[in-house]
Amino acid sequence: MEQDNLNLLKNIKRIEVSATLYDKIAQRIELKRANTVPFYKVGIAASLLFALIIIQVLFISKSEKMNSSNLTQPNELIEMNNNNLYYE
Amino acid sequence: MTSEDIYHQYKKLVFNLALQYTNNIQDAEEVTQDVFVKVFDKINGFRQDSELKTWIYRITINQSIDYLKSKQRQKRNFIFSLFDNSSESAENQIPDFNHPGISLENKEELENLMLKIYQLPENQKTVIFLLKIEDLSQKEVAEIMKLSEGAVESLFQRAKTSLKKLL
Repeated sequence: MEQDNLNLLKNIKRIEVSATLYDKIAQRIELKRANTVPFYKVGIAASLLFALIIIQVLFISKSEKMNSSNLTQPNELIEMNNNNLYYE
Repeated sequence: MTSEDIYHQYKKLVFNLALQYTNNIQDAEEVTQDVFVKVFDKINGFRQDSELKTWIYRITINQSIDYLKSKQRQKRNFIFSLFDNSSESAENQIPDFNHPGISLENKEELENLMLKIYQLPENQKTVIFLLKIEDLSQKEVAEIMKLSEGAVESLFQRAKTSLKKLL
């Protein structure tokens, strides 16, 4: 009985697809493509960021070196081997 | 094979299978669009370990089920926001029945049968659609559903038993 019932499903007709459907799909794909950032742009942005980080690191290390050399100078100036006062 | 060739070769298959799940043209068109967008997007990564047709069948089934789930979720959220206690009835929501492939002569019987089929679990429903409407062999269904032929047969038997109880 239920087998006969299920055979009823064979009477369901196949429907033709609307002619405009492909255009809608093409539009959606185009929209998706427009909203996607191309890989080469991501690459350029990443390289720029990397370059900025390198410049920052170099700058920091250079300024640290300068600071440390500046710090040694006052010591050299202050260093006195006698008890004489300045301008004496 | 270009995207357009793939579309023209499989559009009827995708649209009509989506129609069995959604039961109305608008939703079936929506699912068909989703399926082909996905197919064209993933076609380069498609491994030839299964046939293109089998792969498209799989995408259509998954997309249809996902579409219905999200539609039910939206409906449930809407109903829930209106009346707190009517959310339970939304659990077994049946898609709006407006199947254009059902002719007038056996409309009532078929509608009744389809409404019962919608109450079955997803995998039992899919087995019925593929075996009885798409007229595929058990071997093809097994390949699409990634099951053994025995498992397909047992799913079909369970579906028939469940339907018998419902009818």
